Amino acid sequence: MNPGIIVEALYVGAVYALIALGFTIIFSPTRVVNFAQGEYLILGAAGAYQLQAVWGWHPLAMLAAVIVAAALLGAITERMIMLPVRLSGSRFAWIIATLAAAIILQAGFAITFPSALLRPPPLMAGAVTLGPVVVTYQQLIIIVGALSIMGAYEQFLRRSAYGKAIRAAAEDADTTSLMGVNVAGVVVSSFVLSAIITAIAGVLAAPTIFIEPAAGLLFTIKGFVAIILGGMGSARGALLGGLLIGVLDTLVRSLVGATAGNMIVVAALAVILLVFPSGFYGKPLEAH
Amino acid sequence: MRRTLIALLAALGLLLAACGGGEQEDAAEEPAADATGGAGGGEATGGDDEASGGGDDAAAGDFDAGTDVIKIGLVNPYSGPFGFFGTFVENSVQVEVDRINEAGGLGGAQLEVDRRDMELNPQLAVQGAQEFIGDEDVRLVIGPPFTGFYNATKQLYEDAQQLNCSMAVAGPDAIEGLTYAFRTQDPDQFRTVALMDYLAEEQDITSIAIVYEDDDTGKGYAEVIPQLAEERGIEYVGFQATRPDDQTHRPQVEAVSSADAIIVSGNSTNAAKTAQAAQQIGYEGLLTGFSGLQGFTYVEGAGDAADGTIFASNYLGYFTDTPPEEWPAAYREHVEQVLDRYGETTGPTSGVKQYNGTALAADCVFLFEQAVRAAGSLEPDEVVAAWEGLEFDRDETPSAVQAAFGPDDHEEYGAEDLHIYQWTKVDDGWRLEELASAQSAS
Repeated sequence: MNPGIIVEALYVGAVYALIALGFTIIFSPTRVVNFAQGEYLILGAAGAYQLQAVWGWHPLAMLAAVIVAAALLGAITERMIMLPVRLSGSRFAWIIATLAAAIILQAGFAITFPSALLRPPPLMAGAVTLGPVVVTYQQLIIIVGALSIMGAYEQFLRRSAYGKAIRAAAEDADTTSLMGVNVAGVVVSSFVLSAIITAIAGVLAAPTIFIEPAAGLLFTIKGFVAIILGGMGSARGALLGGLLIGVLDTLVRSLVGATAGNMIVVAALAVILLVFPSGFYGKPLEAH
Repeated sequence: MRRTLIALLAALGLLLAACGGGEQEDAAEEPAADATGGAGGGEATGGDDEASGGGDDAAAGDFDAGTDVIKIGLVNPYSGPFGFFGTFVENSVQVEVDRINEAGGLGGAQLEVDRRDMELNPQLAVQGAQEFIGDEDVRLVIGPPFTGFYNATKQLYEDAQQLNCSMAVAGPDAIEGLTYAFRTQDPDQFRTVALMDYLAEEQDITSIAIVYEDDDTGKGYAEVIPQLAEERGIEYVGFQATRPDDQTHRPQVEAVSSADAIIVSGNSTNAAKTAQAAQQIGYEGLLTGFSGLQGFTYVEGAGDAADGTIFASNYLGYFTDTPPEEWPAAYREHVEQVLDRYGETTGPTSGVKQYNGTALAADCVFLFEQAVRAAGSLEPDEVVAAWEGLEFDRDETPSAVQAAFGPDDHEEYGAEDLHIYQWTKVDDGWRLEELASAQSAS
């Protein structure tokens, strides 16, 4: 087996980990699994493609614009999802609301970029040889970037007042509200932060992973599986789950083949969940 | 009131989404570029006055069609990632339809184009086919494209005696045994031979592999390529299947990296993934394939990794540096008509241009017109019989192919109509160069 496959597995897993982190950021204060999560990744990829590849913007300017756009989209999707959820009163309203958001956004991207493959140039061209493996700088940026974002988010949760507010809202929103915390604002901020992080994942991944405008749901599923494995509500779980999915998916397929690889990956996931029903770092959830 | 408003907005959103982009299905075998092989047959060329075996000097009033309207039904993707394919087909068809109508129509009837968006969904493809079958005014159906989708509909056409013309369908057995089906696409049984001959004789390839979707087309190549390789003394390294959700084809390419050449997908997106993977692992062999690699989507997606890719295809004069004056007459006429009316698309990052039409679809209309005039009737059996007697030179058909049909031969293309092209990265962009053709070899 070519050692380069391991690098492939790691950087693909890092992308899934960031999507999974996005899931958990929204889930923590809302108990909503956002099936539109992958669309934030598409936004990042689309922004990088249009601004950098087509219009020739500087990468930093592109990144700033994508962050602003992602923040805006996060706030908009919060309204699209949480408003129906609150008004409905049904415990399953979030499923319809998040899927509707995903489909609407997917259609928007497909219409805006009808035949484009969202592949901007790498943020840093070239590669470095690490022993027997050739690793592109973009792949390194993805892996290091994902780890950095994860670490920064963990510190944010633990050390900042807002991070504590998010954790408090995740434990008990009513009590948190009674303590004077603007829980609604926490929810909006969670959507915004989640969208930004996942969009950055899209910016990082687009040069190396072939992202099509209508592929959002595919990444949503990958990220969702990653967070289930890692444990919903846990940033560390998101990292572990994402890497696990990336490794399983890439390594198994390279060793066994595409068709059998699918079966083996799903079987492995089932076994893991049997041993860790709430994921590696998750806590048992009350009936949702 | 508020809840009602929100419910309405949600329903509107779902409706908009349903009308918007669709997911790409199992790797489409022959992307849009497959069919953009140039076109001819505009106002006055390639047609009425010059067709041989097709009713010389046939004029609109030679027979009575018995109807005011003759519909050409198109079943294509008009939305989603391959939405531009349907648009290109319709543009070229419309150019031919307008030419015929301006000349007085067929048998006194005016031609109209009707479309169904299949969204690369087999169920919608079948539904579209059935709707056209049920419409008495529809005398010719073009589509659906791609072998898998066409296979799902062809028996419906046959049972209903619905005349149909397929392009962007390359499966070797796609129209075998069918009475009412004709094809204007270079089929696998010819393109594979043309490519393998070129690779063996001109590129000294000693080993070959395939990285392709595990669909009808991929499986077909996995059957025929090993046999062709053996006949030419080429080692067959193997077939690696790709999945629609593969983020990278690196595992597949690494598994066959010992091959001198790798046949990549006709789906330009998947081909680009394979090319990228090949570049990542430092593959030094040749990437090769078929006409799906002709469009800018492959070059856009693969980037520099597309440099040196060789493929077999129908005539692509527009895409090369060949000046228009040297294009076959009908091809030039059609391409210029399409450019004039519908323009061209430029790859945002590659700068590769692609005219917004596809001559292979134009051929369907042109040949139908000639067959109807020769038959003096719209009756399917009579049109079929007339179509089987058609013969045209390269200067007469919109796609610049030498066409000759027969009772057991409903294929417009033969092995002699294939060309070999290569993508080359140059200082100011990309060049598509013709390396060989059956005409120049003979």
